[in-house]
Amino acid sequence: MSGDDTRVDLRTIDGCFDGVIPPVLATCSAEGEPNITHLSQVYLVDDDHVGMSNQFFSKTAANVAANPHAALLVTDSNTYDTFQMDLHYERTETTGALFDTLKASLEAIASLMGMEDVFVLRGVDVYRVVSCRRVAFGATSA
Amino acid sequence: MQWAELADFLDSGVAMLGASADEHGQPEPFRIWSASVPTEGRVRVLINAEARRTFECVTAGTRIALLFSDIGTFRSLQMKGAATGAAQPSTPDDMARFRRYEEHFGIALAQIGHPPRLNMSMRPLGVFAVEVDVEQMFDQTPGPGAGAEVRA
Repeated sequence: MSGDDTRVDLRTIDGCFDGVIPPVLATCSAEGEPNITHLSQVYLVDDDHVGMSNQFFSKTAANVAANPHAALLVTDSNTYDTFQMDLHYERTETTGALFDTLKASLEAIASLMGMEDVFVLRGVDVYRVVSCRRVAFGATSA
Repeated sequence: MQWAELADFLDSGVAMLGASADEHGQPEPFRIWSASVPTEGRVRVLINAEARRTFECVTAGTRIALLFSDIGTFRSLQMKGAATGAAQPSTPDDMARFRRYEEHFGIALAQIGHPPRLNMSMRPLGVFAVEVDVEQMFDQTPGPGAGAEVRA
């Protein structure tokens, strides 16, 4: 079964944003060197934007500062569908409501994983979602 | 870390992911469904055929990142290197590794509480093979040591 190129309404895939299945973020340096990293959680900011906790992603931060293109692989914990999103980095927030919300959520995840001293929120990277397509169908949703 | 130890790590049911980038700097992440070490310094990976941009753009010298993570301990290793050539069809040996990986990864998922359905959902419906000459490896285990280079 091939992927679905239709733009997916992000509000219909809330299981992608609950942190149950770790998302994966790919970035690329200005020189064309890709990088990939697991995330604790991706957050739905609004209909067209997602936020990610910036903990210790020094390579990711350097890459998006030089090249705003990024891509995300996320699996919905409700359906087990997997989606690929092409992203465009817009900004990093270090204060405010979004930052406070993510800080509380990250602290909860860190506590569950026994990594309270490791997971420290430095900022929230906000990306615009350029496209979103389903690349794998969950075992019961096809 | 020696290559024999790396081969054992890759055969232990770790989560496998990768990324490439096109000529415009747009990266593409993809799931890998088994990896092997045909010779020291080289890794052969089976990539989900849904990684269309990677399938189309990969050729000798294409930069590739590979991430291998033990989902129980979070021990993670990132490899950076260059593809040795274009995408190849999988071989019978590849498909034997594909099935073994599915079994091992399924066990690892079950050990942290995920149902078999998740493994079934992640399993690619098609794969292509790419070989990567590894130039650098980095410890990517979460924590302040993440990013440190690992020598093989």
